[in-house]
Amino acid sequence: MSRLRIDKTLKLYVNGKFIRSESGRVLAVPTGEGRVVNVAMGSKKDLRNAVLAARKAQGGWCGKTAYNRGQILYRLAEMLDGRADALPTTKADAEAAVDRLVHYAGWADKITQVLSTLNPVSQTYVNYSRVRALGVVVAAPDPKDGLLGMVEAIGAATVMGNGLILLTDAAQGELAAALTEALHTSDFPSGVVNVFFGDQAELLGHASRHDDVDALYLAGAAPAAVVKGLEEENALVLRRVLKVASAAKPADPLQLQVLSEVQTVWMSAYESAGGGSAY
Amino acid sequence: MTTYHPSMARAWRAARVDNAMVQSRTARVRTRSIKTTTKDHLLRLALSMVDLTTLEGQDTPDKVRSLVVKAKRPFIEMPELPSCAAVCVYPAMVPYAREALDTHFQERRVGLASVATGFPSGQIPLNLKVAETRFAVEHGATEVDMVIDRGAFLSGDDERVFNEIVTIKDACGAARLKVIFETGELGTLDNVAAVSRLAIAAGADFIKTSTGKISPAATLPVTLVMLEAIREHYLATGHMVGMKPAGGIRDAKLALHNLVLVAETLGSDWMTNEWFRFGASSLANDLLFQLARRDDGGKHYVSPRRFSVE
Repeated sequence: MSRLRIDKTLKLYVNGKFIRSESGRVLAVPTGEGRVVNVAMGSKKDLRNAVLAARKAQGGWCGKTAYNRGQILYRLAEMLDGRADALPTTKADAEAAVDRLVHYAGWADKITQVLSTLNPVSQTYVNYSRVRALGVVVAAPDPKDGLLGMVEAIGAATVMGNGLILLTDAAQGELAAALTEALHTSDFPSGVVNVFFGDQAELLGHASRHDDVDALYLAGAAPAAVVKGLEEENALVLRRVLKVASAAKPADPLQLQVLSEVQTVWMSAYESAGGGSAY
Repeated sequence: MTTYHPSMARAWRAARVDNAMVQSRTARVRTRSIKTTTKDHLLRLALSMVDLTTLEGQDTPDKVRSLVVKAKRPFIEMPELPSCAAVCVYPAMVPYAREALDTHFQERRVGLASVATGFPSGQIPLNLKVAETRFAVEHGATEVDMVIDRGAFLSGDDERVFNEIVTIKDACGAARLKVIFETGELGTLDNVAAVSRLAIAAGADFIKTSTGKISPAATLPVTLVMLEAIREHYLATGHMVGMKPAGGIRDAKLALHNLVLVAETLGSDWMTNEWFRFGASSLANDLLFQLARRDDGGKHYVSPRRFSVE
């Protein structure tokens, strides 16, 4: 007896919830074997709601201890590893993605030490710079990088204490949806990582016109026209852009620094610790 | 002064609300889509109806001053936006608010509302309630937001609730009196309808849902029942009473849906800040967020960080 075909609806993952797009837009993507997945296409308003959610969640996320953030990234690796065989991608891609998360889990409580400095100043002050989270990052991983590309963006943004909105291509809906299911069972607080499906270029345009987005993460070779439009918008609000060629190698510390804010603190060398002011 | 008679209480308490109908009407309002120029107009109207409120134990004169400036000119980058209707503060903050209102942007008129009568519980003796009201009015409050004694109402002592409102109304002098029911403590919509009739009969200029200290607060069903009480009174006497939902209205969408309810129930005469107010603090920033986006043709969402917190 033949079974009834189960066509899956792939929902956006916003603020810890699986939601349909408020726009009602759906793209039917055939996946072979006669199956169709219905992909909810994220809209401008969905993005606005996601930015609100990410902004709200980000404070709590960067307020957690670095060690705890590492534990949570590691837990995501565990969740992804547990379902590695079922992921709609190659074995090599799935394994690389899990390993990449473990890589970032390790960085969580070490990156600050690498990027922070004690600055030499010629007065009686202790002067140090430390990295702080930037805020809300919108990332467009390169579809060619598969799951590894998505996971690389998640690791790079969240390890620095940022909230993230991940814009994935509708054609990769099933893979991204599998990732959201792992995210949902990991210990990431709601709203820290949000996942969209849709037209990456369109969604990036919306993101670049939302002034509350602090940084864009662009992987692979985006069309020159798209990049130019983004750069003009970014210049208006001094938004950061991190461009990475591919996810084959993890972001190095100087790339990660783009996703963080440097805070420099002056303290009088004569006063006890706890005084001083931050600029 | 109006006097109480038991037959009045029987009429108030006879109010019966059709819960199913209220739910269905408010559910329909929630699906209303308001776009383009209508939305633009209503967002501005909603902003002009906000009683910008700070009612915290940690309020300071400086916080009240910055609230006043915000109420007068909500967003510095868009000076053409209307001012809020009033600021709403505790009686002890009234002198500071008065001074700030008279100092900044004098060409813009913004009211000064003071809560009174032992806000938020209302559990102080009547002579202190009167003294508190007088203090607020003497120091420049143009509106008084009193709370009713919910304990008295729930135990059936309508006479006491009625006489308190009458007494406070008298103490208000020229100031307009808003009567807060704290509907979250009243239990049923029948009670909300009854207390609305009671307060209107006692001379309330405005009826107000909640203190903002208790949840649920200004839900659409409660607002609808109160609006219907106002309508009933208007049809019977030709006398207008204002409405102020307060508490829990944090986003522009819900504010616009409230306005739809007002327009459909009471008509356009009430669509002004003389007769309708929102008691809110964070609502103002969401309205500004929407207005600022529409101001540049809907191209950009602005960062909420561009608006002052208070």
